Amino acid sequence: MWDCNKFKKQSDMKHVVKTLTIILLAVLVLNSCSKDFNSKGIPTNKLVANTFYQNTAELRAATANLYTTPWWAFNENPQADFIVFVGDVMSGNAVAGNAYGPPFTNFNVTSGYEGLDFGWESLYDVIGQSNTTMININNYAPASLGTAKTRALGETKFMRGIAYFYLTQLWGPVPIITNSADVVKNPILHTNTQSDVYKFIIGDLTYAAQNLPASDDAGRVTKWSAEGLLAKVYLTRSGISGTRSQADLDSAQYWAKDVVQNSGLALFPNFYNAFLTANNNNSEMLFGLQFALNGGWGTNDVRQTCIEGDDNIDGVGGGGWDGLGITKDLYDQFQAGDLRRKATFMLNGDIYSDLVTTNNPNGYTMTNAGSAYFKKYVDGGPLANNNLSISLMHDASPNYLLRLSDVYLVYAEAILGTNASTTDGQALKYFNLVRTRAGLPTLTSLTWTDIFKERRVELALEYQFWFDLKRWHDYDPTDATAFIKAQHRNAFTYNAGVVTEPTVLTGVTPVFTLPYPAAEVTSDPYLNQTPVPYY
Amino acid sequence: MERNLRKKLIYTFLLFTAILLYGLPGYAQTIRVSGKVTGADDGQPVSGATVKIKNSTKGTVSNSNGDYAIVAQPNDILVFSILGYTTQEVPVNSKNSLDIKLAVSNKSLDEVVVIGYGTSRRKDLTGSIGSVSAADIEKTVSTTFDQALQGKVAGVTVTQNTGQPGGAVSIQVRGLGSLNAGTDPLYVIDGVIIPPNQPSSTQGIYMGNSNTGDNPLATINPNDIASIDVLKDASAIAIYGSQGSNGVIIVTTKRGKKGAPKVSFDTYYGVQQVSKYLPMMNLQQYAEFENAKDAVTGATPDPDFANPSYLGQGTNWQKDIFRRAGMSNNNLSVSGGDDRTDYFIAGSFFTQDGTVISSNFKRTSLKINLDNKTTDWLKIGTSLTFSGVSQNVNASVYNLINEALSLPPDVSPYNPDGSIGAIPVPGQTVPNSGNPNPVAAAAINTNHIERTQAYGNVYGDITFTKDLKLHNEVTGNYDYGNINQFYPTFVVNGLLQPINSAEVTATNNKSYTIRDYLSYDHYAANFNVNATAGHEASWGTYTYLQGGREGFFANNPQDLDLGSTVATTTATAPTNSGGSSTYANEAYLARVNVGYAYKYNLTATYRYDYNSNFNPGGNDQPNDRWVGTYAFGGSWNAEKEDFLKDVKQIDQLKFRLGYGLTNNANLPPFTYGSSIGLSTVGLGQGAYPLNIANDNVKWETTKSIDAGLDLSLFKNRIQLTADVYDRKTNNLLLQDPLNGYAGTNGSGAGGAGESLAAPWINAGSIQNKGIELALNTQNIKSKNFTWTTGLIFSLDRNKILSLVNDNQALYGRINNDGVVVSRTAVGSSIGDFYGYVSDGVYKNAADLAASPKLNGTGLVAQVGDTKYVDINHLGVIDSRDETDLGSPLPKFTYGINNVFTYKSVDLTVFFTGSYGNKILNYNEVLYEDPNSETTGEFQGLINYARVATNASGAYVTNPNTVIPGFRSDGDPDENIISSRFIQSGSYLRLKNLALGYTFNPQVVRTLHIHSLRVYSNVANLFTITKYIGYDPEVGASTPNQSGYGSNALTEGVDWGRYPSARIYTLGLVVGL
Repeated sequence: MWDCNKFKKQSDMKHVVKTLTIILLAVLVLNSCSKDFNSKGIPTNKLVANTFYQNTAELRAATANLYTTPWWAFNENPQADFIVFVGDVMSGNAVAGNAYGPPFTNFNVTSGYEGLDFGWESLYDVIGQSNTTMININNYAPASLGTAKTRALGETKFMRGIAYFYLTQLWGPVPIITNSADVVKNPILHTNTQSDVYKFIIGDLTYAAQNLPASDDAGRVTKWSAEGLLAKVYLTRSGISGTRSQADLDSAQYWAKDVVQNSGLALFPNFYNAFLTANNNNSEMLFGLQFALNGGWGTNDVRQTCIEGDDNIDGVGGGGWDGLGITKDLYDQFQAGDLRRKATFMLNGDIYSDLVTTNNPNGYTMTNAGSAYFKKYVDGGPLANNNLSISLMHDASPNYLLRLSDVYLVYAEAILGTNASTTDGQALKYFNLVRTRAGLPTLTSLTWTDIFKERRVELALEYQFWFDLKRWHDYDPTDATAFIKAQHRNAFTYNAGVVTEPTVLTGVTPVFTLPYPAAEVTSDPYLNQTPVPYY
Repeated sequence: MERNLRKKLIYTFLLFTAILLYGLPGYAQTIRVSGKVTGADDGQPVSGATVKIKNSTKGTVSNSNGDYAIVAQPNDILVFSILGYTTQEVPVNSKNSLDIKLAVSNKSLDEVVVIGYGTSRRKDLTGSIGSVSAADIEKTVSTTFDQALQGKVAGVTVTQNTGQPGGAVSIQVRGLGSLNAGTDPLYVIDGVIIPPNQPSSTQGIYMGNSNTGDNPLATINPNDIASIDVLKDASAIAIYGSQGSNGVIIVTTKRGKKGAPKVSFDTYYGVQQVSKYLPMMNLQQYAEFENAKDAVTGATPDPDFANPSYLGQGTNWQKDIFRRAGMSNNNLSVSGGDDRTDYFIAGSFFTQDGTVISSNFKRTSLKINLDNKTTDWLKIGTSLTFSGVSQNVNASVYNLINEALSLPPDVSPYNPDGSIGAIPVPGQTVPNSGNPNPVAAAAINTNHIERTQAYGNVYGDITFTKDLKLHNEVTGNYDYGNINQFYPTFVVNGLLQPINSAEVTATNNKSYTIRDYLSYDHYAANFNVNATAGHEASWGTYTYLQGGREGFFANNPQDLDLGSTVATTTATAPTNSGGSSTYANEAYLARVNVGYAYKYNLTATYRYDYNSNFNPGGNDQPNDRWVGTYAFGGSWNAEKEDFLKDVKQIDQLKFRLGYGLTNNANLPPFTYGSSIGLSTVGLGQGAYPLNIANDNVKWETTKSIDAGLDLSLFKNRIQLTADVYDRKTNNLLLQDPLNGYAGTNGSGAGGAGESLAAPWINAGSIQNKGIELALNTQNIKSKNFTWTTGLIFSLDRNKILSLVNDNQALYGRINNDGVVVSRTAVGSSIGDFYGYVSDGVYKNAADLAASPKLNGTGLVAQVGDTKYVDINHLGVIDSRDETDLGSPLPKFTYGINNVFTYKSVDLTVFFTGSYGNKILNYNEVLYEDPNSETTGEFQGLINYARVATNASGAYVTNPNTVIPGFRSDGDPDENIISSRFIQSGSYLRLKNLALGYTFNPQVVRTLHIHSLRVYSNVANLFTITKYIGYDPEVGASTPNQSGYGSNALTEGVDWGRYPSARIYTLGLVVGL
């Protein structure tokens, strides 16, 4: 402690100190207007849009996310796996033992069912992420990036297009959104007519077809992905008015033809092996969701854990959440000798020597007579997959939403068009490529039913069958409804070739569109009103 | 001996001085009067009290022991006065010895009020400020001081959001003035600003889906607080500018006073217990219920339930998770001072176990306040607090109360083989991760919060002239947090959960403020001027570092280091993350108060504020970062006017009027720009747009007017403060709650890059109008018995005047955004519950045929289903029939405090209450639904609609029930919010019943102590309410979806709120 009295006595000193204090104060006041306060508003701890998208690597990263995270809830969410339940349970290919299965089997999915929100929101998340990325690239990426920029834009348009395609197939008329910021200004939207939604999708995919490269890194979409999807979109649109549009069929044929004839792509030789992780993103795979094996929650693929019938298959524990099994109806579709059967589902007594785990060094033997398990996308644990770190809720193969064989069959269907049958050489050629790989005899003439059945078997458990049924229903509601009513939408037992059905579930009346999620309608009553034109 | 000697010396000196000063009086008539001045509150000596002879200039002051001596005439009257105590006049009556007890003058008109950047005498105030003293706080048993504000200040609504020890409290000053931008007031603790948008190092960190429910103010020891002043109206708030738009709560801690060391030791021990269990089905009832359900659904009946009468009670999970829990507080303080230096040093240790197993709270705090009069022109000082908090928050993280209700009585906490009990899942080979049952979750998991906080200020006051002073101050707040989580391997129903994992988060929250202001206070005979002008700048940074590992060799020890460093077949690879955020505020401020004749006061305040959360401009955009806040206030002390001067009954009659504009910047940083996030995705490195930017986001502005009256009658025996206000907030800051199609709603998986964060926008306006009353009366004031009453009444009416557009409404969503519970629309108040109106059940086939049916569920309506009211008469029940089901906001809240003293005994009876608010009993939505999945069930569900068939078809045998019957094909009511679950939240609670006994100072002196007081207190003794949940005080307890600030849209949803306990305490206060 200094002697304060000294200061008292030295009045000069007192003034000096006062003056110093005032100067100090002035310095503090001025100092506070330093760089902290005059920064240009770009935070030091964040990447910002204005300065991102500046090189190819940044553009690649920006589009890479569109293959993964926004799709997460479409693939899996707290209320079951949306696309598996919609695509395969609702279509009568599979049954689920958990609480969410019966509403899909019985067509009483309610608007309050939370899984509905997740599917709807996930697809709109894809759209929101694609839109924003597209706008940011347009605004901030320098033109000097050239095709890297247009390629990235092509990817965003592809993603947006396929998301709208799923939305409109599932819900019919939906609002078209091209910029999430517009929703901020105008938050309550009407749905747009289905025909305008299709027009919009076609616009996006056409841009993608023109701007995506013919080849790219494994897993990335290409020109052929866009064209194949475009063919499928035209084929689907051809019937939405109730009668099939020949112009759309011709367009479907046109785009499919380019893919099948000019892409240089071919079916993977072995159907079973095409779905193994060792052959991820092989040339047959035009588009798949790409989840991160060791990624964080929200980027992982939980599909194997959910869909496998027995967690001894992968040996990583905890699986089989959905209690999924195959219906009698799907079982009946597979002819004897169809190589795809064992690659699609497991029957009692089947031996999978490649599904090696610590406990099953010689592979997995299916021993459950009461159920038929999913096989497609069930690839086993680390030992069966070159020691990939597959674990509970972390699966390693992409989730294919478009394959070349799908485009082959679209091509055949587009050629057939409204005819009763066709012997068109191109149609037969590509149709029979699919058959031949499956180990089945070729056909010399094709009917609609031949193609419909082939699609179901070829693409079973790839979530496509519901959309085939829906497409059929668009132009032939009576037959499509009768078909579903006749389905045996139930599980079966299998013992040494003897099939029995403990309970038979037939006569279920289908509902072909999902209700808009209740929470969404609550906030936007216009959703249930008459759709408005977009264009 | 030495002490006596010193006393004698002092007396001699005083006498000598007196003789010197006043000359030799007429010796026959003069006598020497001496004695001791003590405080009536604590019996401690009062030093520095002025002792004057009435109508003369003669006087002296009491010394550090409170002793005084004065020479007076036998018939003189002595006047004892000192700030903070009621002035007392005592006739000498020829006595030589007069010991004086001075009553504390809490509410006296000379009271000094902290007004921010200075103090004011209450009688000069133009703004509306409510104050709470240390004495008020001490009468309640509060873990944190904000709990003690409940029912104490008019216009301030305090709701405890959880009964978890150290749990969060939501405080609204004059209603909800904001939607999502945070409605918490600003806390200023000894000059340290605790910004409402970044309250503590550990708040806002989410674990799983649940809030930790911890309280940013939990590090503050209520015992250290001298006073709390709540600035309520614009004219009071404006000096805090943008930070204070939701009110300002200024906490002043105790400081030393000149005098001998005062040592005070407080201790109490308490026992807490929840006051009720909810009636859940016992095992017999449950078995009968399940059998009846299986008969309808066709499910295979559980063979264990074949004969329910053989079954016992089963598990009552509530009994297993609730416990009687102890709490204790020990607080030691030393204060005193000499001519130059005053000090206050306090240490405390507080520990509380929660009434839910495993929850607990511990606080250790050290407080040092020093003031030094360095020279006659310089005063320096500091306030420093060091505090540590340690908390187990399993109860919040796992929502244990909701979990306890969710489990059926046929599951046991532990199976006979020692494994954990859970609802069995057929075919399951590995148990689900997470939370098998609440008892086990509490016992085996670690969710532990540690906070270490040091905050305080250093100041230097320079006196240039008597009137002109400069205050310089630097404050700092260092708040370090650690969140430790460990999730062990365990065995459930004989199945091993093989993964154990740990996650540790370290947070670091630092802020600094530099504050300088010049003040000029001039009091002349007929007018006074008080002026303040200054500058303030604050910086804050918040950083966190998070790491996680799986695959520990054993469940103990749990250090992160011991987990697997690589991914294995069972363990995922270690994870880490980190981040930071910063903010900066700057302000120039000025305030002038001019008074004339001590009757009229006018105050003008202006503050120019900077906030870095807004667009800095440039590129043709305006700079939105600076904003001006202003307010005007005036008051009129009418009792000083001639026409009232002679009305002796009126001590004060003051009218106040204030108007002002305040601004709010409570939004996260950089929402005006678009950020990019990174994550690893299937194709490698991914980057994604984080948010929808709004480069035009601006300050939320509030204009308010306040009119007030202060009335004091009959020698202050009746004191009334009444205020009416009208507060209108425009340009509301909120995160636009867009529909899913905006791409802004995720799956709740928390995947970065899944969805866009909705933009922060300015949309709409809210009005709060209200009345607040504070009435204090001394009903009986006799020698041995006094009775005083304090009444606090707060009424607020909240109304949305406009939103983005008139059709738009805001929806409050809970349960991973899946369930809409509230709708905030133009004309309604904030967060009104929203859903269908239920009207019993379809009673019979005819009723079913004649009534509209719920659309869109995919289920065919049947007899026994819930019947909803067709609001729009369109013949079908759909989302258009959803309607406003009432407001979670109370019509009014109140506090009634009665204090009785009889000789040395005092009794405090303190009621608080709330009237007119509604509660959404979400527990019932979940557990009173006959068609839900397997859960525990409320006993009320036994009255489900029983469907029978007769000649005319199906009919319900108990047709007056409101609970639907069983169905074989799904649950039409799943997550449907209807009027059935909306219940009255009005209550009257005996918040505190305290009985104290203060020992006679003469008696305790023989024990060598100054004072001794013992007391007992019962908190929450009873609650009168119609609400059938645990506790009608629900508040904002439901985890908030955005994780940012309080969520005004989901208030009043009871989803297993931790109930407030009944607490019995016994305590002791010793003055040494």
